[in-house]
Amino acid sequence: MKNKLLLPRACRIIGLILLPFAIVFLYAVENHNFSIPFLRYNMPKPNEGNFFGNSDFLFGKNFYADFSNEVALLATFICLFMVAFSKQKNEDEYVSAVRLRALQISVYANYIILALASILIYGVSFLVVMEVNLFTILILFIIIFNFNLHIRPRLSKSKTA
Amino acid sequence: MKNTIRVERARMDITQAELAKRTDVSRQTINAIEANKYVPSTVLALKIARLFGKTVNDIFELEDED
Repeated sequence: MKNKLLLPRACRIIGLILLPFAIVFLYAVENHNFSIPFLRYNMPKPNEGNFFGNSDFLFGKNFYADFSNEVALLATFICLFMVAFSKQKNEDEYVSAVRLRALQISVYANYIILALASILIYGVSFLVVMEVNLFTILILFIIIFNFNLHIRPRLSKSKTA
Repeated sequence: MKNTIRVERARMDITQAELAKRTDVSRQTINAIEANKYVPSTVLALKIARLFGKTVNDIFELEDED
């Protein structure tokens, strides 16, 4: 069974290598105001009468933009995506079935977490939950898929032995 | 659905890895089928049956809950 919607196998290894750097970068940007100089720009002042009305209201005279946050988020997304959706060594129907089930469980878990958070967490804290929640599906999927494919068979084998 | 793959493998004296290679699937797949944790597709069931020189009905059998 050929699944054409998957990335080449090499992407998994590249994603695994780059993921720690992307996570550290994202953590530094979010929590320690870290930014990369070439990602900081002084943008031209927005035109008068635009969507924001008086442009000085939001941006002042100079619109200062730092894209470190966006790049860090994108890098983390791309690395997680590469790890999650790359081909396995032997890509067959069983692997596809395990992948589909892991994806289903991770989507369920994601929305259960989101529902609980919307009931229990309010204000600015909820925004933090939402930010973490951006990655929950991918992280849960990677954990469940790899557990079911690689670890679970070994556990059941050692139980029967 | 239960199956007699383990018995047939023993009869032919082949390992899970050999059977996996000859049916063009992973060893995990054969392991999961033998452990009744995964029901193979019709194509794979036919391949396995052909390799053992039997019909699909000889290898795979429906259970009451199926």
